[in-house]
Amino acid sequence: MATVQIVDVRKDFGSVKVVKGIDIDINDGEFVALVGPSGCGKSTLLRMIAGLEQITGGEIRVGTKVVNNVAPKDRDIAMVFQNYALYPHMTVAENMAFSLKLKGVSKREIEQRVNKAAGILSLTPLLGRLPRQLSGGQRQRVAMGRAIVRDPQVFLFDEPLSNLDAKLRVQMRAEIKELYQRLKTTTIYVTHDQIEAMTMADRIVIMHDGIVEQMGQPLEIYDQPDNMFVAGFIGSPAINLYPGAFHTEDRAVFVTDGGVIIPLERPPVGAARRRGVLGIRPEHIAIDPAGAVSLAVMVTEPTGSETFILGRSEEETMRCLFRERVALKPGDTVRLRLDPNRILFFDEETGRRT
Amino acid sequence: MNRSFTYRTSLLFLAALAALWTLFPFAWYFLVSLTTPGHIPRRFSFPDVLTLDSYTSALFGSGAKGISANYSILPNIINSFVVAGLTVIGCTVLGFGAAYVFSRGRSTTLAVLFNALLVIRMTPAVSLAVPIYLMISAYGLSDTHLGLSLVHTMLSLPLAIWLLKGFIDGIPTELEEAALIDGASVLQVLRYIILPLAAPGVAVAACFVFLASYVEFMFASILSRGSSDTLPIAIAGYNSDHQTFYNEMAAASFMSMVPLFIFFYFAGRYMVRGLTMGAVK
Repeated sequence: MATVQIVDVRKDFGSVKVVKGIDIDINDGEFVALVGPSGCGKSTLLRMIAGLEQITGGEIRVGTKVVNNVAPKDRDIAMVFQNYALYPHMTVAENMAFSLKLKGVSKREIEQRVNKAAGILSLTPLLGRLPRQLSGGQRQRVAMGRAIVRDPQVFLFDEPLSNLDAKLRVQMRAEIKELYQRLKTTTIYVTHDQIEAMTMADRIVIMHDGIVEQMGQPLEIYDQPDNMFVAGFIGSPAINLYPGAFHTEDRAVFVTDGGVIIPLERPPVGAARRRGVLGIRPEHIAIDPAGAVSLAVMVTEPTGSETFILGRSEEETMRCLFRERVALKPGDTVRLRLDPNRILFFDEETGRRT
Repeated sequence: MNRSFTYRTSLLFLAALAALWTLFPFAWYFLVSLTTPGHIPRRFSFPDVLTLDSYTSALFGSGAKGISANYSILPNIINSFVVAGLTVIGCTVLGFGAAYVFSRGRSTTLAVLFNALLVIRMTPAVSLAVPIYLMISAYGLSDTHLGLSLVHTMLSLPLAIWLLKGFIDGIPTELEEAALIDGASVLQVLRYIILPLAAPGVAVAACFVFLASYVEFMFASILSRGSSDTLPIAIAGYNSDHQTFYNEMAAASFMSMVPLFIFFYFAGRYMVRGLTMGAVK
């Protein structure tokens, strides 16, 4: 196990700047998720940590050692790839033993360690099979087995679940988390799936356009996003964001550009007549006959545990999520209350939370 | 599809005609090889006696039938296999390394070089005859197995590289990256990951290179002075200034084809698969 320090790391491909100066400190034994939309540089960053990509600028330290110019094989790092990257001509056991064999570990010890890893991952009955004879979930487990058998300083995961179907993904998510809790090895996990990041990581790093937008614990980021990008990226269904203006004449309200009037309890200081963006998460909207906002229901999506409603209020569309069952159908009109304590404000120009 | 009887019969007839057209010379030649040595085939006819004398004469020499025919093609068979074998080793070893670089490299220089290789492959070999003769002689390699196989390697290397590159292109780079992270050096990646996965491609390339060397005539005839004559040269040798030994020539030709038949019987299927695999993947 080791800490990983990423100091002002940059990566250019020709004239294209993909990673534009990133600082992340990862503690010993921490599980950090790098999350962001495609093209944000998260995979490139992971590949730089692995040593598969040259670093244009900055410094990466594993433990106390600067690894900028250290070959991947000497970084003592294991990586699980999106498409598993199992060696197709080797059996499960050979796949897992490969790194130990290269290191010159004795046959007996290789067998012991492979068996132990196979036991942890319930791969024992599959040890003699070739990768093509395995299902997607089993291949994923072999890929993890190949990583853990080495007992590396750091685990890197590059979107390891995106090739699996939805149900298996949830199952493997739990398995990876369980494995992590058992081994407590420093883990860096790249995903574009915010649910994965939220549910698995101790800390999330949200990346966008080659920079870190925000870093923090999952719920902290969810509740207190630094900016509109983070607010919009984290949370599903996505947060409602309405540009508009504050009015504080007789009572404090926010009037969206689409004409919805939202009463405020505590308008931001100096907000009068200023413009801004109001954000409210779908689950912070409640049905309230005395509510100030009226919504014409357009789409209802009951999933059993919750009900998602998409509707129209004045000129704005609004996403609402109710934990209780609601008997609404398209065409109905309902009055809503936006929880004033949960309303977020952002600067319209900079996107920063105010 | 349920086509009419006439339709199917006429298709079959056309196919038979095409086969006959192609195979007739072979059939005639085969009959010539089974005729008593010394008989000169003027026009197509069935021999009165079928005999293997021409075959034994070609294999072991026969003394009695004339000076030129009094030699055995056995040493030439060995020469052919040695030259083709050396060529296969040269082309697969060099070709594999080069194909890997061409497959993984991302520079314009490499792309230009790769296309240049293919263009060179299309130039008529005869245009190279004089310079190659001079070079090989200058290094004292004429009439040696090594000299001829060096030339054959040069001729076949572009094809080998092209075939192998197709195969290596189909191997995901993630496998190499996984191996690098697993602790492999670049050479170990080649040895443990790329080579086993490209093995069918190496086999296909080896077969093509072997065949090309085995049947090559022009350079073999320019560079040989007797001791390194390959089979095609020996077969052509039955045609002397004074006499042509048709029967022995035919027998030797058919014997030289045996390895080809064996090869196509076992490897033809894989070869086609290998070719198309390399092409589309």
